[in-house]
Amino acid sequence: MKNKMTFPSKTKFRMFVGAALFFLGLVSFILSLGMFPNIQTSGMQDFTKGFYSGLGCGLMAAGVVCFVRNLLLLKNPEKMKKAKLEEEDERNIFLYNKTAYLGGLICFFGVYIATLIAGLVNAVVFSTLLWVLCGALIILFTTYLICRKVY
Amino acid sequence: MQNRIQQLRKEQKITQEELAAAVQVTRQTIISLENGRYNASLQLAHKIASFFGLPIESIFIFEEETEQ
Repeated sequence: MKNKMTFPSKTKFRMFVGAALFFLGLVSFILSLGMFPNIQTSGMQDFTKGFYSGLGCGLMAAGVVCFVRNLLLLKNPEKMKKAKLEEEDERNIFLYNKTAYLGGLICFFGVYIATLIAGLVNAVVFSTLLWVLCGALIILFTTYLICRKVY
Repeated sequence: MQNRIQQLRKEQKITQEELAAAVQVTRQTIISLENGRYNASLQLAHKIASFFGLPIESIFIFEEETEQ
């Protein structure tokens, strides 16, 4: 199944994604400061607040980088040509797929082992990890069925 | 799978960069192809063969003994 978007269109779409990331990061950061009216954050632990503020800052930075990088690509045809080559190079695509497969497999077994250990330590963590594991299995199987049909 | 890409490239005095640009891949891919670490797809093999003006089977050597 060939992607019909041209590379300049993809670049413009990524600028939009960068802006969306920035907005999401801003929301997360503001949430951590407890500035949303009607949303009670006083019950949040310090750790959770810190996580949201860190996540917010990270997303904002990622959004800015994504937006600016793609804007510079749009303005420089030579750089865009090089970026297009890097992205569509078949060996790079092979590497991304291989990395996703192996990385996914390792993460899956990591979660499985963590579930087994959590069962001996904490019931809440155990049930959360179990749900994550079952969800991952369902997603994997469904994705396989879809790919088999499409390809 | 072995190939004669490096040999043909040197015979025609073409750099890896030039070949990569001609067949629309990165230089790193050409390096990996020449080292035998990566096998080209049919599409890329066809592009390389067209570039050198030779049939695919004279550039890419499929050894049945290796497969067995």
